Amino acid sequence: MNRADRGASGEWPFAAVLAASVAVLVVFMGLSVANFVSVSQVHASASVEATSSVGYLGLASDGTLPNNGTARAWVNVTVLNPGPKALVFDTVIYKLWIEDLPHEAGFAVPRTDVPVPNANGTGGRWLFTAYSGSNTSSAVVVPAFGKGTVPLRLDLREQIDLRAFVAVQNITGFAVSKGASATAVPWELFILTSLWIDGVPQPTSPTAPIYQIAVGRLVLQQGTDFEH
Amino acid sequence: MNIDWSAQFRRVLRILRTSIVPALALGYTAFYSIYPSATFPVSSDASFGWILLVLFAASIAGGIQAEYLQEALVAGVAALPLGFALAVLLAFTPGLAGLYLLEPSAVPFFIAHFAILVLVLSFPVNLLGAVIGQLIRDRFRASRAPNRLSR
Repeated sequence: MNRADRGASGEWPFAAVLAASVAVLVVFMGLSVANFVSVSQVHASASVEATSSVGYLGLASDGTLPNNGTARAWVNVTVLNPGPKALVFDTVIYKLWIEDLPHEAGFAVPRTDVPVPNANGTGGRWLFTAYSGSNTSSAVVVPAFGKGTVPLRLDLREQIDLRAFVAVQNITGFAVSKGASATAVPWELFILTSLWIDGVPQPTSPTAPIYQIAVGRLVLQQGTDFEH
Repeated sequence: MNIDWSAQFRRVLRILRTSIVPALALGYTAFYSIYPSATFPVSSDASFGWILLVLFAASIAGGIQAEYLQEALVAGVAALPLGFALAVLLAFTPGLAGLYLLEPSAVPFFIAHFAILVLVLSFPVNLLGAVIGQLIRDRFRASRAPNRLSR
């Protein structure tokens, strides 16, 4: 009798091995896909909403910013996470530009500004980088299906950054001389933030490809980096 | 010459059935090797030991299913394209939910590029597992034959 034609009575252990193996592998694949899809969801759905406001402390009686004054920026970087995995803030890179009104008015200014052409390519604005830096110490958690905010308070004083302070002093002083308040000067905000996806470990191997780092890391941006 | 198409068809089905387990294992391990931090079990780097264990165990489980060694070996080879197709399908799963980590047309090349070690490794492992599976099957049958005769 051909082996293949033998009765099925002796085949059930082999069928059991087949069924058990398929079941185990299907469970492994199901768990893998579920995890992979949830990570993909975070990548596809998370977004950043950053707001900023700038105030001036110790203004002179005429509304100008004195040498001992402070330009204080409050930046709130909020990440919305509709995905099923929590996120942890890693780095927040911020840049705040003040619109250089004296430069735009045709005055020669001793600082380096960034030109921002209009959409039609003619004319445009001049921006000065007043604040630029990064924050890596917050470790704020963005829960799954929730949101998390990193609040930043950035002070600009003469002692901290003389060049930037003098520029802001000059620009706000120009606005005051035109009858506007210092707070009326427009600012532009750029935020680039990276977050780790909770439960997605980073590769430890020095030969790990870049994409494996990118799987567990989320990079979100708001605004335009006018210097690039 | 008369060809028994029915027998040939049954043979192909048997080979496909035999190749199911190694193909599933190859698809799973290839996918796991590419995204070890976002699959199961979650790990920072892909574990070579785990990949080898799954491939080897699955190839033996597949080899046990075949009636003949030749069928087991053919099934072990057939598992390679089937497993690769499965790995590509797994990488496409976020796309089914409208999420794309990769350009869809790039996925097969991406899998082939980054899972090449697993794909190559599975070939000798499948053949070795097929042989071991057949040995286990024959031993099992031999151990049961006297029992049947004694009834």
